[in-house]
Amino acid sequence: MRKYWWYIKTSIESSFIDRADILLYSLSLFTTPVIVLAVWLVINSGGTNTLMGYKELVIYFLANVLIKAATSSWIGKFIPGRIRRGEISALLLKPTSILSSWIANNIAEKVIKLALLLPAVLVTGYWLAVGFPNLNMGNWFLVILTTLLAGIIYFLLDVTIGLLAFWLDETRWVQDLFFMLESFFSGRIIPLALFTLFWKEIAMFTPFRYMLSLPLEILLGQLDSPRLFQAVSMQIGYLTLAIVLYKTTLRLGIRRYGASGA
Amino acid sequence: MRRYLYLYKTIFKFALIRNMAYPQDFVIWAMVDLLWSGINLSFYKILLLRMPNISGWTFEQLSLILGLVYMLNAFVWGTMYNNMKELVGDIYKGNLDLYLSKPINSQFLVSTKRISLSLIPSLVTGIFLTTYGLSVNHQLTLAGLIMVLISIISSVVISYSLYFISVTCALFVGRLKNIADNFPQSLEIAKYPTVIYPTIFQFLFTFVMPLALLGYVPASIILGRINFLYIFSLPATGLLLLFLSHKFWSFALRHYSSASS
Repeated sequence: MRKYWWYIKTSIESSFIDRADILLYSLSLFTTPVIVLAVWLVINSGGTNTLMGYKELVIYFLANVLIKAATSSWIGKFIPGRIRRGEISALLLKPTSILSSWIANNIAEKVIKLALLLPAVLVTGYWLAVGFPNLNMGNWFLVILTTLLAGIIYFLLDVTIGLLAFWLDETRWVQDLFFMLESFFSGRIIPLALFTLFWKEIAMFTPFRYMLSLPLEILLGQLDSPRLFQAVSMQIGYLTLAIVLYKTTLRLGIRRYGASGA
Repeated sequence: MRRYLYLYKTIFKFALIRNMAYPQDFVIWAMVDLLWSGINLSFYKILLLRMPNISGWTFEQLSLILGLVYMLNAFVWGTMYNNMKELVGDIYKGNLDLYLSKPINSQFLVSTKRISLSLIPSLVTGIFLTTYGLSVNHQLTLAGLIMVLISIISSVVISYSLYFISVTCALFVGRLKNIADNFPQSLEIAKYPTVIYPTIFQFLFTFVMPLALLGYVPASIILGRINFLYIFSLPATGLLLLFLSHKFWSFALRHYSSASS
């Protein structure tokens, strides 16, 4: 545990070297949901959207900014380069898991991003005159828990895609495809509640719902107890699948790995 | 000027050969791009299921904005993104010296090295949507097409200038690895009629960071919502921003300390 804490501490320190970069990146995380919120508010002002009201939409998209920042992962795009350059050998020799430094980097940057985004979200929420969601303690706990699980699923799938570089020369298109499906089915630009029935049914069975939308649905109180139980079970199922996928890909990948000196 | 046109032609030819060397790659990226187009259109469709128009813009009129922005997107991702990404890396690693010592304009060189042709589906989608928008709004005339052409050329120049100015900031800070990703993301703003944003942002997107000039204003001019004479403001803004980007680049280079100094 101490090793991990050391990793996180040094990652936070090194993240501060790129502070201007992180600020810009955080700003870009804020932009898309706020633009889409503006569009939905115009639609809503016409009075034809009866599924989500003004307050629900604002809370949804502002919380979307924070939960997205808390769950996203970006390490996958750096892994192929490390595999190709043989740098992964050094990680394999360490007494800790290959994931240690990546997890630490992920947590460190998320802490900084959330610290930057939280004031922006609170000010925007205040400006748009919406209060905090009215939830009991149990549901707040579930929001935090499902956000945490969503972050782990996202991270493991991202790493797994990066590890495909053991077999593929080019993995960017897989990442782009993943990102594209995630943008659509996770509820990032369209809340799943506003999907047509056909697309909603599909979204329920993709892992993407459990990587962003689920905590938001709980936050807005959109799920009754049976559906909540079903959704959390599905999320745990996808988490298990992500762990298996990661472990299998790493095991088979290392067997195939042939960098200089490996 | 002729020398630079010749150089660009050569770079383009070389890029074509390089793109064709990996045909599977090209096909896969083209498919990914096509899927992106589908998702964007689905978003519009889902929006308009709830309301017949967005701030007075029907689906047919919105498709004109979307078509113009899609064509622009093809240029931004196909001819600018990789160059800007590489430029940021070159600044950070101190490789910029290689380009500064060459006997041609360094801004031209760093902006034109890489061209990707996998964004052709975006261009095709953009042409299709624009043609659809023009025809259903009875603007598929020679005048309409000329205005589209002026808009596209202007918006490419405006986008390039804004993009280049933003990336040039890396010369002052050094480590700005992700700055090349910010401008293409901000094009999201241009996909919607500017009137949907609060008044202060409408002002900002028109006069400070003129993203409205990339889709909303040209579409408004073509559809006759604004006087057609405003079409001339687009190339004028483009040329002004291009000039500013060059001045800013020259100014920023004075702050560049390279890897060895």
